Amino acid sequence: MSNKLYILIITFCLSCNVLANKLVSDNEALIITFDNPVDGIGLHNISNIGFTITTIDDNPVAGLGFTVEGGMPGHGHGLPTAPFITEQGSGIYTLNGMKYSMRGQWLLILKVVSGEYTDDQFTLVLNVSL
Amino acid sequence: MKKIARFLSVLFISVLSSISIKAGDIEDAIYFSLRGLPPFPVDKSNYFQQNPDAIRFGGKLFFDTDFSFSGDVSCASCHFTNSRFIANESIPAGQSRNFRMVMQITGAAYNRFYFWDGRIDSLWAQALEPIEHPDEHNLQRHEAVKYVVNKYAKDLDTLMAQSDGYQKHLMLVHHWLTSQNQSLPIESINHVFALIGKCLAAYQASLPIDRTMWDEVAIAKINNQPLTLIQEKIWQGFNIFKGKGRCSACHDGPLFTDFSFHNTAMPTVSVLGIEVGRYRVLPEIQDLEFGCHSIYSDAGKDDCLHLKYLNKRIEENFGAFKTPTLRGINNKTRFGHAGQFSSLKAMIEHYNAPPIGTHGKLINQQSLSELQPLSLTEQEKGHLITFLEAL
Repeated sequence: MSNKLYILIITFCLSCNVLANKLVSDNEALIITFDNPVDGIGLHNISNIGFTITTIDDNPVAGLGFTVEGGMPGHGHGLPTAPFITEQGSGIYTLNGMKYSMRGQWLLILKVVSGEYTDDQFTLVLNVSL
Repeated sequence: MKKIARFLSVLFISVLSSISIKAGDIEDAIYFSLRGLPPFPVDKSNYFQQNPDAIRFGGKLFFDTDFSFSGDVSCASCHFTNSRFIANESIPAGQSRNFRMVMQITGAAYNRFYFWDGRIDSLWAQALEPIEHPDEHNLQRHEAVKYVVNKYAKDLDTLMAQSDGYQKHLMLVHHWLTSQNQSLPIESINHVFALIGKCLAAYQASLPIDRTMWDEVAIAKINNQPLTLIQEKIWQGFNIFKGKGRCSACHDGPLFTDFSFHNTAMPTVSVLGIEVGRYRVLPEIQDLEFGCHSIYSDAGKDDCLHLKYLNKRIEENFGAFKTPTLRGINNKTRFGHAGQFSSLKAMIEHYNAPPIGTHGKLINQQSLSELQPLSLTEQEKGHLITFLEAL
């Protein structure tokens, strides 16, 4: 029984691909929920990804300004484009101009730079595949 | 009983791991070979990119040496050698030209920016620069248009029948050619000139990419076939390429390029001096005379996303040059964007023990080079060269 469970867990872990749809901020004050997997836009496509920001108790947070940074730390290079975030209102935002130039591990940091919660950020470690 | 259970679980883990490694090998073999090559992206700024008549016409222009001031330079002079579309490095295009290395044109349509510094954002616009360059075709723009309109009237008529947009410009150019003392219809000349570039681009985009020895190895891996001795060596080299050698950090995918720009602490060449590379061209690139945003582009308002989201950060662009494809690298005699290295071995030595580099210390004493020491053994370097020569 225990062996079967062990094999099941390993099999699961070998095939799983954790998609970053929902994430708590570094200060654990905010939750970001992407409309689509942020690592699911393929390679060499420039895409926009919608997301919402709420407090931990699920209230939408409007009026935030962000910077977007990131890249492939393991490779020593940054993002291939200059993505930015716009707000559509009521805690609804869009990450504009995202692109991955290769598969592998990417780091994406969405830093709150204006509005309430300034200096909080979302740190996403993404495994981009085909 | 417990021992048997432990043995079985270890056995299962080993089997699963080996399945996983094999699956990884197959995935890598697909990802880095022509099997994994996606259809080339449609360039919305070039209406004619996939037009068969434009491809045929572009092919004629590509090989036409009369399409030059001297009468002996064509696109093929630098891009076609020994009946193959590989760079001809024995003929510098223009004796006095301090040129950078000639780019491979097969697969060029996958790029978004052209030339080593990426100063042009469309393949068709790239094709126009050598026509006017004094060390290449050396034609004034109106002379180039005059030559093409006179020599290729039928080809142009065929294309005009498929696109209303250029007809009036061609008519104005015809009128200028047949009239005395009429001033140059500059805008119309520019439109026809752009059309020439678009047909050259269509031809280049149509060129197939050669299947190489590496692709054969990849196919054998994908089909789970045994490798020959030399294929095993190539595969070992591939593992260094994507592993310890860190080459795939930039030379990624089936064309072995991420189509991006990187500072790799390349040595300077005395005639070129310190090269700022990508960073120098960024201020103008969104407002080029010929490009995706220009009035000669066929792109819609929202089609030029590569310009809208252009990364201009100094940290990622200063001293950076384009990652070239490595396909066909065994045909090259010089390596690096300005031919800094005379052998693959010399190039690998640079990456194995990278200098901080001229470019790397210019910004607040901060190194901008992306390279890290690799500590490759002589054997690993040898495997790597075997792999590269199979590309």
